[in-house]
Amino acid sequence: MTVLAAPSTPAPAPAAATVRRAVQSRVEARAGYLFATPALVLIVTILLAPIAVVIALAFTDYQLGAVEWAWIGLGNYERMLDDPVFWRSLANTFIYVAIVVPGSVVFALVVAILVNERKKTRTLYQIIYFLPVTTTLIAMSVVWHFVLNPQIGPIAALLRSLGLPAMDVFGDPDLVLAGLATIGIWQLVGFNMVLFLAGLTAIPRDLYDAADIDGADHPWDRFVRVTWPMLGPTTVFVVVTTTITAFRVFDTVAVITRGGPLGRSEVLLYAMYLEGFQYFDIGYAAALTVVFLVTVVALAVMQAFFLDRKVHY
Amino acid sequence: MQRRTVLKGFAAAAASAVAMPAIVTRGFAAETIELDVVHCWPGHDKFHTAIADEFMAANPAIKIKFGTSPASYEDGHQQTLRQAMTNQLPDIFYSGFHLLPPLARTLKTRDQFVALDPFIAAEGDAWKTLNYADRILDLGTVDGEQAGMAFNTSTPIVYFNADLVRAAGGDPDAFPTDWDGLLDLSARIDALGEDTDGMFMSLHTGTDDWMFQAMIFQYGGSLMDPTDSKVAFGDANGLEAVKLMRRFVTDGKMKLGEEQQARQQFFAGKTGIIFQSTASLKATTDSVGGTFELRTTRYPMADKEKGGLPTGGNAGLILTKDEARQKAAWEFLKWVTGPEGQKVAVLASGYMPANQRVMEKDYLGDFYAANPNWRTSIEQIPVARKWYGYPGTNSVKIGRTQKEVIALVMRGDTTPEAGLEQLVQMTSDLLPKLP
Repeated sequence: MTVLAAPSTPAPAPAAATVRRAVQSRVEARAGYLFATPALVLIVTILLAPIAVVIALAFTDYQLGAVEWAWIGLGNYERMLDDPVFWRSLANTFIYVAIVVPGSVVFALVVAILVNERKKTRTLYQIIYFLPVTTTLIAMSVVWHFVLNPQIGPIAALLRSLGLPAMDVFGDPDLVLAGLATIGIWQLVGFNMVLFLAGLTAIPRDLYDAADIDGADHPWDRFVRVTWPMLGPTTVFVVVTTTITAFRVFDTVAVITRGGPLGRSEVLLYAMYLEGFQYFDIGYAAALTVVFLVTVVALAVMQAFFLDRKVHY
Repeated sequence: MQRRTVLKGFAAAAASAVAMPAIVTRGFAAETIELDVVHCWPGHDKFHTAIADEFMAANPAIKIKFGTSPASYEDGHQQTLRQAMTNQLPDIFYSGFHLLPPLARTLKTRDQFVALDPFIAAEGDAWKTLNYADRILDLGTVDGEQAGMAFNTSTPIVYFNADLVRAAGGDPDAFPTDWDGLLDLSARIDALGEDTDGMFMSLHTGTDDWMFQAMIFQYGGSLMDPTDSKVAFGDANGLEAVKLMRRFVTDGKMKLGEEQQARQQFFAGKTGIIFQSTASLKATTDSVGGTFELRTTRYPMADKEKGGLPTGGNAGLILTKDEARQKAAWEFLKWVTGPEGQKVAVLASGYMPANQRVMEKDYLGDFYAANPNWRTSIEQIPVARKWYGYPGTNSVKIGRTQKEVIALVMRGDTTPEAGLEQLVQMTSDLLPKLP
């Protein structure tokens, strides 16, 4: 409507062209905002407003359904400092990330380089390694649960036939995080491999030819001098996305261990879930969410920083 | 599963679209009341629907419409609290016993609570005593008021693999009724082979404190003092209970594995004895199939006189404030907790009947006589006690936090004495602070 009405705006005779142009650009700008409004409204209502509500709730002692609640300022964060469960879940999350990120990145890189060398079977290997990515982690957790069952699982049977003692991966406090991390790596390798394969395809062949001429013809030399440096940007991207994904670990914990044994698999998201959805302590759960949000945003910012400035070859 | 829910949704939408004009044309003369009912666990849909169908056939003026079932008692609790805040409560909700006190207390502060005492009083004493034992009615009370009517009730019982018991030199027909005998048998089953375990009880793992409460109750102990202000399980009974838990591992050779895995293992015939709810009887019988001979028996009581067991399950609450709807909802609650409703619910699960008329010959009398595995559940009715809910709103958290200390004691990392002290301390810390 506004656009159609624009030409009829009365304009003084002198310098009519410039004025008309100014009016038109103003009208266009206004129309632009108009068109962007629905998207903006959606972003505010479904993304920004809930985050604002969570941040606000984190300053209250609100319990679900309660009629009375109070602003307690930084009370929830103070409580967090004294809460062994919070520190434990934070530590567990970092240990999990520390296993999953190097594990899935290095493994994916090796697989990608090996698969990249294949000519006829390349697609087949790609599909095989990518399969775990396409599965639902919740359903696969149930399968892993059975596979690693200390008495009736196939792994236990294998260990026994080799004369080794059976491992109760999810019942042993010292093994549980490693067990969950293994599932995490299994799930991420395929996805990271595809990213590395894309990176590998983008490396120009002449670089390898040039390296050949300079005498770097051993596969290891080719990897260190050409492949690895050229994969720099891909690697940073893979590391950051993997870190964020690993940080969000929840499904396997919720389905398999429920934070046990002895709380050794309680991770940040699971602690949040317990406080909010099992204990109905919304204020504290919101504060935990804010901590989680800040960490993930920090990781994302780091990604932008590294990708823009630090990776050059 | 999901598709089924979606289809059901479509069917319901279509049905109401068709039904709507009919109601409009008939006006309010027919006075059909449609009640919104929500129960937890999608797995329970089947028997709830079956009971409602029979009820509607007998009461054409009342229609029952089920909302989508929340996946657990906790999910249902949360959903109901949300609905309370937006004034969209269903007319009837089935709350897990352990969440009934916090739910009723929250609803009271919001002035959305409906006490059932006047409804029961209006029916008369004769009706009450004919149908409900006092202890069953008591399961639904909160702070002295009848908050709900017990619908599904269950106690922990012993499930055992009769083949393994025989192989270990035991007699399935004379299963030990004391802990010493049971632990000895468990150790002998464990010794049968490397891939065989003796027993499992979900004390150190799982999500609630049901089995812990059973441990305390069976010694005749209590969790809190009679005034509900001080933790009471720090006494001699509590110490005996904690020591016994450690003996499960030392004497009974129990492995401290994870709950779901232990179940799988029992179904596969590799565990001798497992403690589970009576409510799991149907599912366990189906999972075991013909793998081995499954038998059940009573939970061994350390104190045969004063010992008790906590009752799991759920109670139906009326949440509507409208008088006509309340009347209809009460008719429905009477039916589901009556002999007709209970018969269906019991046969579909193994839950203990909440109505004593079910034992009459017309209902399940003959069935129980013919199925000894199912009889264990009713044999334990006399020892069924309330699943204790702590004051305040921290019951769920208390149960979960206790598990860690229990696990440390069972592993032998903490002595029973020190463990008990920690349990008492930790529980006290989570109780409401006295002014």
